[in-house]
Formats: sequence, structure tokens, C-alpha cells
Amino acid sequence: MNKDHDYIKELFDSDGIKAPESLSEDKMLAMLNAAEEKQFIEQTGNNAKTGHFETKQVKARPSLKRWVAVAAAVIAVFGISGLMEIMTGPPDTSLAGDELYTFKSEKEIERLLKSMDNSPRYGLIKLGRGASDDLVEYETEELADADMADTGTTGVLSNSAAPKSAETDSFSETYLQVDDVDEADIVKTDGKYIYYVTDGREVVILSAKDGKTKKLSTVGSSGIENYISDIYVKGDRLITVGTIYKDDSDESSSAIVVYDISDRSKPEVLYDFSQTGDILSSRMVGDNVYLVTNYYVYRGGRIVPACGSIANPKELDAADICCVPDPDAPSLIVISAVDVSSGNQGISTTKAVFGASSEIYCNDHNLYCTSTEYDSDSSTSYTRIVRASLNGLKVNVDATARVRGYVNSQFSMDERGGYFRIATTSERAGIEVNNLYVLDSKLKEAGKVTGFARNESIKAVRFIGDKAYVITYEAIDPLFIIDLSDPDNPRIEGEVKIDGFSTLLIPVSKDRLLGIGHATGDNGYGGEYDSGLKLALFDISDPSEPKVLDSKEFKDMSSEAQYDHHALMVNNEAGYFAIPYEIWHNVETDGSEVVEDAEEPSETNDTEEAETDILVDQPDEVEDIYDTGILLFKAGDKINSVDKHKLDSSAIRRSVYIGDWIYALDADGNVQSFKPSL
Amino acid sequence: MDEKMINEAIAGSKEAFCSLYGIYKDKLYRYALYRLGDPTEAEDAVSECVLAAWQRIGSLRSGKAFGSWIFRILSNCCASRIKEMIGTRENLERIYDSGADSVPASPSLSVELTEALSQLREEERDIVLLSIIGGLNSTEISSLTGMAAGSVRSKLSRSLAKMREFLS
Repeated sequence: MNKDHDYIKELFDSDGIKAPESLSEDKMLAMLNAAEEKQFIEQTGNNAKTGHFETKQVKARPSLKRWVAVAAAVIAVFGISGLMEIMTGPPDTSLAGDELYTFKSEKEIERLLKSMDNSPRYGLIKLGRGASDDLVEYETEELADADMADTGTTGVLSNSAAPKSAETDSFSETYLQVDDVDEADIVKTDGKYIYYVTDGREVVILSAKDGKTKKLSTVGSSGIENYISDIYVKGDRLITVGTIYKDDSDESSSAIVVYDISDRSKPEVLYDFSQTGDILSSRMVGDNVYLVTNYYVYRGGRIVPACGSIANPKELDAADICCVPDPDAPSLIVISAVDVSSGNQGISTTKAVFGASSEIYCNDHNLYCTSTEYDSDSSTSYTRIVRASLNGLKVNVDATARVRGYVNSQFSMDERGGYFRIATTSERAGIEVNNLYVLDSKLKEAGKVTGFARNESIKAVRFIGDKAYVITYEAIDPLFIIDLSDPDNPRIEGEVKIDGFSTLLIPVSKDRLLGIGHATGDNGYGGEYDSGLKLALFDISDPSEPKVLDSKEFKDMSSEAQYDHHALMVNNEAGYFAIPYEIWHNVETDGSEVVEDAEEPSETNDTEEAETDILVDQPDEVEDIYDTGILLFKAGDKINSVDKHKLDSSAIRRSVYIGDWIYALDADGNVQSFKPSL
Repeated sequence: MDEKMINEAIAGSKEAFCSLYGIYKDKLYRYALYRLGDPTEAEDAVSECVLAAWQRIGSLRSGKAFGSWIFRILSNCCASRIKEMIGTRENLERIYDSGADSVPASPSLSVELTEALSQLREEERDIVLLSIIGGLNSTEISSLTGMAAGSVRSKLSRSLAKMREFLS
């Protein structure tokens, strides 16, 4: 891949194309000046009567800071809700509870696609014209109360189940959003073996014991080109999730391949399952894998998605495909449930729905697919939600809705007690604002909080029980606690400000919340810059008054855990957290010890590698210094026992623990092990 | 990347912003040219991008983010141009789908690269251009296009291999 990359890059670099004179810096400066003048004339001209100056664009930072200072003063007088009333514009009309349409034939789908093709832009197509006159209205199934059981994060550190038996040590599990709903990742372990997807897209199976590892086998493509993205492991089965490329067609499809690994040194293919489209995400609940893909219908490409074995997929029936009102573009979400239990040849169900998706939230009985849509002038964003109920192998696309704004990640969504909650960032008069919507079991709006944290956007969300914890960021960087115990009346209960912002919120105990994120520094020009990694520990025992208990900043450090929760490893038994880190710095910055308030450095006993984790001997000449490793820490009433464990390798991507040993895996597939002494 | 220039631009200096733009202008123009196939359209897209970027300068967080930030804006400008061009499919088809006999619209577009790009789907082309010309990594491309990062990596890998095979 790198060779191809370099080859193509070389060709592009030598094409000799340069930006023309009309796009010079001077011409652009003149254009910006002219635009500003025009705007000023328009505004003063239009508002001459009222004498009222309206801002049409988002201003640069210095004026923002002044505005924020005024706002802060006003908050002190009116309280938050009073200020929101003064400042909020016309009430938000969130659009929820739309109806789905089931196609009656392939011809109908064709007609819809054609109408999208003919319009000069992908405008809003009204269904019903040219299609059948009777719109079929989907009724949401009345699910029994038992099915509505809360499957959120229930307790403290509940994701690491730490199974133990006489034969295997306790071991780490993938950090999950929802208990018992497994998420695919590039590394898995079962306490005896480590399974890892290298950058070269092979799965390597290693035995691991007492810090020593041995490569037993690899699983790669088997004839058909299979670009493996991540895996699941269950008992003696390895399930790969990947993208399939067939030589005879340009169409991409996604597939899971199930291997029998009862003999870890000789994995054997049991069966495979593919479906049209690019992988969006997947989940595994019990013995069922749910695979979600996006399929964009290209001109000349297949209209109806297909699924089945890689060698022989079959088209879906029109009746298994439905449509959202006003579909935005010719694309479909394809959802399959595949039984991967042994002895089964992959029985499956597949449904598809018009729409696209970029984030999903999945629990053991519902899958929510969301995508961001924009209105015709691209200034207002909406999130289109499509829900598919899951009942083992039964998949039923049964509801859809739309709310204002866009979501930050899968953690922006949650379902509890039959209510779906979603936090978004939207726009109001050109300014960013934030919202939390609560939708009922029919996806109709039950309650909402809108317009909070103006000029900020959501960076992290965590739903825990009846509370939502939301971090927003811009000039002020607060943690908000929203009470959701009354679905009809969600309300902001409390907030606390902190510098920097978290991008991942982790419940540590019922009174403690840990944030992993970014530290920011003042750039001296009225703005901020990303200065490194930040850990923050919040006391959430009194939701009306959350407090910051402790925080630690690590200069120039970044971690995959800042944007991918799978990179976080939690050891509940020993009580520590581990994340991979990278540090890039040059000697012009302060090259001394990067950890503030560090404990004494850890002693690594009996390790395979000799580790040093204090920065020593800065070179005299200016150069970039790169270091990588695992950052370990504990969080109780303080963040302590911090151990920046440097490793000599290419970028560390993941770590797992088995018993007392931590195994760190890098981008090339190398494993290093050490015993932490926290 | 000059932090001082970026900080000044964020603080409101048009001159600093334009100097910053100057560092990127060749990449921006080349990306737009290969994506839209026409130099006039590419010029318009870049101008539109500069204006839009200046109006949103407050949303730029740091120097490190400038590349992916401005390419996201340019990518959206190109995408809406593609949607709005009347007969746009004809333009792009003329450039990209007619195979070996097509003459590139602009004499400066590399013939062999254009033909190699024509072997790809529109979204694969975009990923290649963002990666090779824009210098964005797969995480940045993923957040820009809304595609899962794994999909981006696999498509990029596959597209580059296809192009190389075509060119050798």
C-alpha cells in the first residue's frame, strides 16, 4: 500500500500545476476586503431606519471574548434559564415522528432514483408522486415492557467483566458503550490468546502467557480480496468484518467471514456473508452479528442491494426495503442480522432503508442509524434517525424521525425505559447552540432542552442512568449535567467550568466521572491551541454542583483514546486505566519532564524490555522528538499513580491485560509486554 | 506551520489569513482542478472556499488543524458546484468516463493521471485527492466525508492499487 501511495504521489507531485495569478494572495485579500465593504454597505443601508446593526457572520475571536464576558455578567444576574429566554430566538420546531414507506416493487425504487437523477440538485423529493397512491403506514410494534429493560452502563467500571477460571487469568475486554453489546475492534483477547489486525490487514493470532507471546497463525484474504477492518472473537470462532473487492465489478460490498479456530494454529473458514455497501459499523449480541452498511446507488450500478454468500449474493425483495420521507440522496442503509453460532451456516435476515448513516447506537433490542442532512442553503443541519428493532435474527425497520442539529459520536445517543435520547449541536441565527431531545417509543418528541451553551459545540456526552453528562467547548468549557428522570421535562441541573475539553467521559464510580481529552493553551492572540492530552476527574455526587476534583495535563501528547473509545483499556480488578500515547515535540518547546504532578516513576520488574520513562539527554541540535508508549493511571479521589510507560516501537495502538501483564501492540503488529507496578 | 501567522489570522488579520492561504493555494487549486475537471470551475471553487473560510475563521482551533479545516470547506464548495452545474454529469463524464480517447478539458491536467482517476468512482477519486494532494490522513478524511475510517483506508488502498496497475 505504501509503495502504491508513493508511486501515485510522485506522479501528482510532478504534474507541474500551480494556482493561477487570479488566485494569488493579493487577489484573495482584495476579494475579502471588497466583500466586507459590500456587506457593511448592505447592512448600514438596510438598517438605516432602525439604526440597528445586525451581525450576519460569525466574528473572529476577540469580539467573541468581549461578548462572552458580557454574557457571563448577565448570567450572574438572571441565572441560566433567564438568559436563555432573553437570547433564544423563535422556538425550535424539531420534526419528529415521520412515517416510513415500504416499496411495492423494484420499479418504484427505480422511479424514485430516476427522479433524483433528473433534478439539477439532490433536492427534496416528495414521495407519493408517481408512486402508489396508498402510502403504507408503518405501525410500531408494541414491545412488551420486558424488552424495554435498561441496558445502559449500569454501574461502576461495568465494562470490564474480568472473567476468571482455574485455567485463565482475568483479562481485558473491549471498552463498550452498552453492556453485553460487543463492538468490533482491531484487538481482542480471551485470556489465553491475543487476536490482532495489523495495518497490513491480516489477523495475527498469538498465544500469551506470563508476558511471553508466540505467533501461531495469521488469517488474511482467501482468494477474494478481503480488506479486514476489525474482528470479533467468541469461543472457538473468529469473525472478521471487512470490505470485499471483486475483480469483475467495481461495486464494493462488506462481508463477515467466520473461522473455526478450535486449533489456533490452523484457522478454517466456516462460512461467509456479504451485503452491498461500505461498512458503517457492526455489533454482536449473543450469537448474532449485526452488520450495517451504506450503499450509494451509482448510475449504472445495482439498484437493489444484495446479500448472501460472497460468491452468490441475492437481491433483496422490494418489500424488505423502505424509505424515509424526503430522502436526501440515492443512498441506502443495509442492515443484516447474521447467526454466527457454531454448527450454523450463517442464517441471516437483511433489510434496507433509503437514507445514509454516519453514526449508530445499538443496544440488545434496537439499532438507531443517524445521518446529518442540510437544508437547501446548507446552513441548517438536521439529524435523520432511523430505528430498526432487533429480536435475535428478526430485523424490522420500524420508525424514523428528524431533529435539529448534528451528533458528535455514538455516545450522543442512548435509550432507556423506552425513550430515545439524543444530544446535538445546531445553528440559531448563525451561532452554534446545543440541544438534547427525548423521543418516545414511537420516536415522537416527549421533551427537550434546546439552545444551551451558545457558540459552543458538543465534544463529549455520556448517558448514565437518568442523567446526561455533556461537555461543550469554545471559550468557556463546561460540563453540563442534564436530568432526564422526567422524559417530558429534561432540565439542566448543574454545570462546572474547566479549561480544555474532554472527548470521552467515563463513569468511574457513582460519584466520579473521568474525562479524557485535550488541554488548550492561550495563543496570546485571543485564541486557543491544542497543547496536549488532558485527564479530568469530576465529582458528580451533587448533580446541581459538579466539581473538578483533579486534572492532569501532558504537554504535546495525543492519544487514539481521545477519539476512539476502543483504545481505552480498563482493569477493574487492579483499578487502573491504560491508553496508548504519542508525543511529538521539538526542542524549541520545553523539553523537560512532561508530566505535571507526577508520582515517582514506576519500577518495571521482570520485564522483557528495559524501559525508561523519564525524558533524558535532550540533543543539542533542534530536532523532532517522537515517543510512544502506554499511559497508565488510577482515578479515585485524585488522578494518581501516573506512569508514562515509554516503549520503543512504531505507534502503539492498543493494549490488553492478561493476569498481571500488559501487552502493548503497535501499528506493525509487534507486541511488547510489561508488568505495571501501580 | 507558522503558529504566529495562524494566531494572527484567528485574531482577525486578513493579511495573515491570506499569507496562510498562499502556502496552501497550489494544493487547493490542484485538488479542485482534478475534482471538477475545469480550470474556471476550479478557480471559482477556490475563491468561494477562501471567502467561506474567512467568514468561519472563528471555528479554526489550531495550526495543526488548518489543512483538514480548509480542505473540508473546499470539498463542500466542490460538492455543491458539482450538484449545481447544469449537465454536470455530462461534464464529468466527458472528462472521466470516456476512457482513453478523452481529451482533458485543461491542457495542464496530466493526461495519464486523469485517465487513471477516470477508473475510479467519484467518492474514491475524492479520497485519493484529499489524501495525495491535500495530505489528509484517514481520520481527517473520515470526519470530512462521514465515511467510517476503516472504509476510507480500504478504499484508498484499493484505489491507489487500481491506479498504479492502470499506469504501469
